[in-house]
Amino acid sequence: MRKSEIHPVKLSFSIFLLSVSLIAYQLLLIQILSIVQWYHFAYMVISVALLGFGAAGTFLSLFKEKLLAKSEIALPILITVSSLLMVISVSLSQTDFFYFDSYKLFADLNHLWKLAATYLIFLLPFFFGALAIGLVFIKNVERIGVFYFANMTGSGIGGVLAVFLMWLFFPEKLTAVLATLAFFSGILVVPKQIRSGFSIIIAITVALLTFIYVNPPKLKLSEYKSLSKALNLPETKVVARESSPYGLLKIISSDHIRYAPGLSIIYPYRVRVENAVFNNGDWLGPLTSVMPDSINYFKYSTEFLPYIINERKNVLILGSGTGRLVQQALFNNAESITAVEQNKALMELIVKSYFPENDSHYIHSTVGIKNTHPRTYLLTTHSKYDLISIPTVDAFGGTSGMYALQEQYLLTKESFNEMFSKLNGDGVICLSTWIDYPYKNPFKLLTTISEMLYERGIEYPIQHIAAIKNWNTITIILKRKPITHTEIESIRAFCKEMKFDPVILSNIDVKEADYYNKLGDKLFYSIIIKIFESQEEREKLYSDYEFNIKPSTDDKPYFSQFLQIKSILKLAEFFGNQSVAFFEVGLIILYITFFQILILSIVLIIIPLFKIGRKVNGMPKLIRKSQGGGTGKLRTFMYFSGLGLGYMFIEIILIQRFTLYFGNLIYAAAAVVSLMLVASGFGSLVSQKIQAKPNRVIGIIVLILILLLFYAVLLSFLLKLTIIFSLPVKIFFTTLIVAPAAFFMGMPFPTGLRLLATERLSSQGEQIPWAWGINGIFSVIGAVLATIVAVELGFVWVMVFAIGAYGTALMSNLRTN
Amino acid sequence: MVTEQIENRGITNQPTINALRKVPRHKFVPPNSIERAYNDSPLPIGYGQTISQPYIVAFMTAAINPKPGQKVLEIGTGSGYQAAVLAEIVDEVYTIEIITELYNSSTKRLKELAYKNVYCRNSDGYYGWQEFAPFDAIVVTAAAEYIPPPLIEQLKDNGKMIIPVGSPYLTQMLVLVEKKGEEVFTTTLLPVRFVPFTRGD
Repeated sequence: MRKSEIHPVKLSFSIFLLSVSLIAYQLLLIQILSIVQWYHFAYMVISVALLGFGAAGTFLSLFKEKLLAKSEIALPILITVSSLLMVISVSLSQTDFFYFDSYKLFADLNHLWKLAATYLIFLLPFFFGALAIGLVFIKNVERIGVFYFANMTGSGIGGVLAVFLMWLFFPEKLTAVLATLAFFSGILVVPKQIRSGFSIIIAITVALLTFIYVNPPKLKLSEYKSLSKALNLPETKVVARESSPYGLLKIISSDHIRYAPGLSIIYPYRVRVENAVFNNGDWLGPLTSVMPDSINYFKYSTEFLPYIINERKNVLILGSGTGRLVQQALFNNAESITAVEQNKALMELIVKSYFPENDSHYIHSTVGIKNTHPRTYLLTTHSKYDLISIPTVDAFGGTSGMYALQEQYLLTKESFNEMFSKLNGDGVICLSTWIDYPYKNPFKLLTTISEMLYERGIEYPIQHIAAIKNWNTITIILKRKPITHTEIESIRAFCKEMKFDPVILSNIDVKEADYYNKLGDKLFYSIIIKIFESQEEREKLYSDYEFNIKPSTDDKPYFSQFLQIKSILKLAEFFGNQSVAFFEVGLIILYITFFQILILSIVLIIIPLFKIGRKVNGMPKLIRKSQGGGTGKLRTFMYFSGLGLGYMFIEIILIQRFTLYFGNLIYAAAAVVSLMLVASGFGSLVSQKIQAKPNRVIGIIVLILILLLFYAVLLSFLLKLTIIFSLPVKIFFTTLIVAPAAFFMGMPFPTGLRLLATERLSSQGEQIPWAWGINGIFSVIGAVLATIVAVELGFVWVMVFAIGAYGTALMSNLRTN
Repeated sequence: MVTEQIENRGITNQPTINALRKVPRHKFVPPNSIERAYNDSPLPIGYGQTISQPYIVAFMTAAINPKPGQKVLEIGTGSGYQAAVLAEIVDEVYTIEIITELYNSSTKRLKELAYKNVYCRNSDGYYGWQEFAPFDAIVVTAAAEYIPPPLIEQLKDNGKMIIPVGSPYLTQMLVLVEKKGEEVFTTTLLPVRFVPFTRGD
């Protein structure tokens, strides 16, 4: 095999840059799909990217010789094609031919085809990019460790770079920036003999990328996104926008926006909402003017409940968003308000940039802003509060399960327990939710809260809880001390004045719960009673109720995931066509993604087997026997699939664990993924020095398994211990915890490939691109399967699966003859 | 459609049933949805809006118990279908649409279909239509976070107002607002009967 004429350092750098741009592009696609559709398409993008890698492996298995023969020319061309497809695919996806609307997927079959076509055009840049990387790997298999290092570190840096670039560029322009980076990596590997000819391609590509940067495609939001609907209103316009890794923020100005959850029907005035904020096209919150005290709607809302029974001087608002609850606390004369909001871009946009008439509450001297995750704040603060407020749970009208897969750590049992511990004696936690039907959100909140109280040893949780409702909102307060008789009576008086109904009071009469605002059935009240009965009653309720209303926990933090597989048929029977709304689109997309990947994977793994099989069959009998025949292929399959699955499982667990540690999902994901990839890259580099022998491989995997057991037992404890430290110290601890395992996890893949390449006549040598493909494909399956396991069984089981996957790789006993 | 989707599901209000039989629903849906016009589901009409499922239109109409001689206000004309159904029963229908494009298309459609007792207006439904108030009933076709005070004010004593709760594809609950003297009461109506919800009960 002729070796590359391009200097290895130059080639490595090219692979590094290409990997940077491919990973950054992947994150950008997630951002773009979150803007035009919804976040749950993230799984589609992850699977599209990794599947591109898997398909490239299969392609290489089939056309290895032809590609290797022309690799010098093929390499820069493949990279250039990948770069061009990065911009072309995004532009095409916004044309009428490809544009799909996820809401219409269930109403119009055309949109399913459009989704499939979008899937294909997004897959192509990854396919061609991966083909280039795979070609370098195969051609330089004896130096695989070095190139794998370039690939892994590039991917790691790509994750961090994407986060950084999202602050600088709007998503539609960033596509061209990343494509340029990829294109540059292609120019680096243009061989001397074709440089003059290639200059025409360079000129055309540069012209096209410049054109797309200057005239980026307009991102079309789904017409069902709240921003699209708002912009249909007359004289409504976008007045400010800001790009960040948190999403694309837009502030609109309109005279026709209304927002006042829990408002009394007797309120006679207009609630003025001049501006409203949207993130990735989804409603984030209103920007309202301060109203004169006499007509202030805060006094006419169910959310006024905590102020009815006591003064609230020291207030904590978890997830303060656009500051509505801050405004409410100020209106009620709070002396100290802590507003915790992790979206830094939002705070900067509201406070520093634009609307002095709206943001006066945020810059008020009594308000302190904390840019972190609310749970992280709870874990690190020593302060006590008179009131802890949470914004309204779920969006008005429901989200049709769009957020079923979103981890909501603020609404778990552990979170409420931490909040409860931060209350003063008379302090309360206050939260509201829309009354949905079938009833789900209020029940899950109440089961989570009541179970937490039981676990704290409180015998009668109902003595600590009060709830009131208007026609569509229920507001719940949870008091540290039992609610007194006097307090109960003042709640009753408030309800009577505002035409609200008390729903939970320790001495409630069912008739008063259903007086001004009657519910269609008595089920709501009878279930609430059951929630506060014995443990057995609650367990029976959880198994009898058609939706999952079990308490949300840190291990299963999917508060908005209500669908139970056992209930699907019954729901379909009752609701007919309307039942789609209950099938939690996020969850459906996840399962559809999983099954389509599974089918494609089987196809992509089996096709190359025919070729490998032929090669083995063509060998002398003695050699065939020495190769282990089918057993050899099974070993290769077990080994590389185990590594692909295991790596992704661990990555997802670590992202989950470090989200609360850093107080920010985006930064945690970027830090964990980048750190893992860079450490694995170094592991790969060092593995180059290790002789490719089966016992070495076994030793490395055993070491990985020991480190995983260490994670399983000690990780949570270590993170809790160090969460209070400053960011630099936390980064140091993270490196100390993540890097060792990731370092060793980077070794088995390149060592395994070298092991396959050891024998010149080996059929296993033929298996190299196949093995690479299997690893890629199982990384896709791992990413999606990890989420399914987390939703259905909890994160603890993802760890069990990870250990099992590495165990499978160990058991494969991969070897040469 | 009417027998299968409306009567068989328990709607007995005869004026409503007759009206649904008369109004040609296929004239109110976009050309690419004509084949599905009589399906048991909502259909997109553009601008993020839908024409409601026939059963929901029937349920909302029956809930206000419309009668000849009455004056009804509709907030959110959309395709104009609900207004047409009401116009078959009551004397005057006043309908307001905030999105100009939808207002233009529905006005044209209702005119072509010769609904002379339907009066359209392109404005913000929040403020109602004071000029022709009070109304015997108000039908709000789009979900509202809170009930606009002007609408309650423009409702006659003993008048009824119906409001859906939920996103376009998730209308499982409707709220009936009744004005009785100075008092206002709300009742959640469950068009899709699903009781009891627990399998054990």
